[in-house]
Amino acid sequence: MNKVVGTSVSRKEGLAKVMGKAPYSAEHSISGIIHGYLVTSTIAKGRIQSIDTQAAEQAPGVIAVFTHNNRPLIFEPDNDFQNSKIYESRLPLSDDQIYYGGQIIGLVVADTFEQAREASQLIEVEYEVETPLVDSRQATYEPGISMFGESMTFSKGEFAAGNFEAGIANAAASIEATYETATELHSPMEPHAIIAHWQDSDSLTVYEPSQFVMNSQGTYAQLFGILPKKYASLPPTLAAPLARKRFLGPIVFFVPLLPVNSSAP
Amino acid sequence: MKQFSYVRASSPEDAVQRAIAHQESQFIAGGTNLVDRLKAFLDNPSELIDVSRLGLKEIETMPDGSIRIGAMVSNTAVANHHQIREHYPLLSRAILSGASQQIRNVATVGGNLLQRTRCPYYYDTAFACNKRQPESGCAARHGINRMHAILGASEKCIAVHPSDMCVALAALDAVVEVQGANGQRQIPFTEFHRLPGNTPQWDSNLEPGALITAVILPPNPAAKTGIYLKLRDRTSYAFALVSVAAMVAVEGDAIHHARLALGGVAHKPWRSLETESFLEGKTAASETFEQAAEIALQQAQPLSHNHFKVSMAQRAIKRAFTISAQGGSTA
Repeated sequence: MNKVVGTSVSRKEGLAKVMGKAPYSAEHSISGIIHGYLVTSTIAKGRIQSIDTQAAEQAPGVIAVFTHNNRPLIFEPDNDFQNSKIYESRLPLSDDQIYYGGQIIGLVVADTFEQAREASQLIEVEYEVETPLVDSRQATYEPGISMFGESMTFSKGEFAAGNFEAGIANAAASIEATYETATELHSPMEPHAIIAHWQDSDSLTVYEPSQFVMNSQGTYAQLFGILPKKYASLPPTLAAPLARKRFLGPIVFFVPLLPVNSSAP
Repeated sequence: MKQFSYVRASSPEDAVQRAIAHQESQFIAGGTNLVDRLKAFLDNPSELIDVSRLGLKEIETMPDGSIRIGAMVSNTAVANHHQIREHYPLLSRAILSGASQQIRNVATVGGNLLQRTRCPYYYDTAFACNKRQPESGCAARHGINRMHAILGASEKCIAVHPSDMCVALAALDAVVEVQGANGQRQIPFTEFHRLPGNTPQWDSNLEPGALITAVILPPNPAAKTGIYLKLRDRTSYAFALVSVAAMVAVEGDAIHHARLALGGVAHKPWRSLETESFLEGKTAASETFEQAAEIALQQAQPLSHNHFKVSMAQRAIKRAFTISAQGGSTA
């Protein structure tokens, strides 16, 4: 009989992980690497009235600054879960709308991480601020994006409770005990970081933490309009189970914004 | 991070001279808080003056029985020192309840006194903060203020001082030795930090350019029974919701030398002299400590999210005094 329950299975890369020998994605070293730093929204809802990147563009080491005003072309993936899947159906820098706090509104690319980060502080954003909806009881229940060809609809649940007091009083037997569950916080060991290495204009190697490598490969291929077989994803040994990373988050879209031999952490 | 220059001071006097000559400079010792603040764009010094190589690393017993701790002694070294553990166990406990082993190994005594609040609105430059940018407003007052002050706050600022060590030092009547432009002076611990008032940008009464050189612990008849009780969301690596440094000496049934300081409740380590004078000579009993706890929180003005801190502090005070009256427990 196949004995699974009660059997301890060692993770293939377990020893390397506990010994600190498994590299994080940002630890891969590639010569000629350049760095990207994200600019994120400081409001939760509204739109960008103006975004002034002039000072940032002139800051030391800065190669480029991207916003919704100058985003290079990327393609909408199928997002069908099988060939490609992204967390946000709206591609970043699509327009001036702000849907949540911390939303990506720009990317600074520079020779060093510090230069990119410093320049990001020089960007002046003016917002038209709206009041965000933060109460789930006021949810609109609009349909979500489809998956596997089925549309995702949400409806307000209905809740009902019987008479607990009466039930317990008439029960044949009862046990009184307190059960507590402590809060557990799932913290990623490495923050989101990606190194993208373009070997040539249609061949890309990506170093990223992923639980779903094949899907990532398809997604990248669709996003950037390249052939999947030309693209190799080398998953770092420290993959998603430790890092809360399954599908591609919004930061990966910035990979194609960068020229050959570049990186976007 | 902005570009800055880095220099090593050759002596405390040299460090002070440099700091006064160069107004936009800052001292760096362990850097466990300053480096974080640099990364968060909160501090923008044009020069860092390294004061970590000036000696000031001794823990010595003075002729009058007090203990002098050099400003550059690591938090770990203070917590583990045999005389601190024996005579001031609550100081050892307080230090070990804060931060992590790695941080305590690097963080210094002087730096611990000068670390700044961890108010999230202070740390996020997208929010208004009078401490970071005077007269810009306080986003915390009507924000998520669960961690904030219930005592001594002002319209301008409701931040709390983050240190555990300082709460114990306040209860122990420590003295801060300071090197300034006009030589050395000593500041009683309770006068070192300040309440926010209209100028929350100033955490302490240290004059610009002055350097902490030592912290002095006077002999204390009740310190061996001292308790440090810290209540927090997680049992390690979390700041206090409420912490209590308390001690009493009991002769017969009578209380003497009561000391009480609270952490996590105010802009400075909160010493309660009213509570201490109430306890003097009283009988060490449960009701006495209950009344003491009420007196300590009489002036409390909780905010929208932290009403719980009042009763939490009262219960912690009662518990700490009760344990101390029974002889305390060692670190």
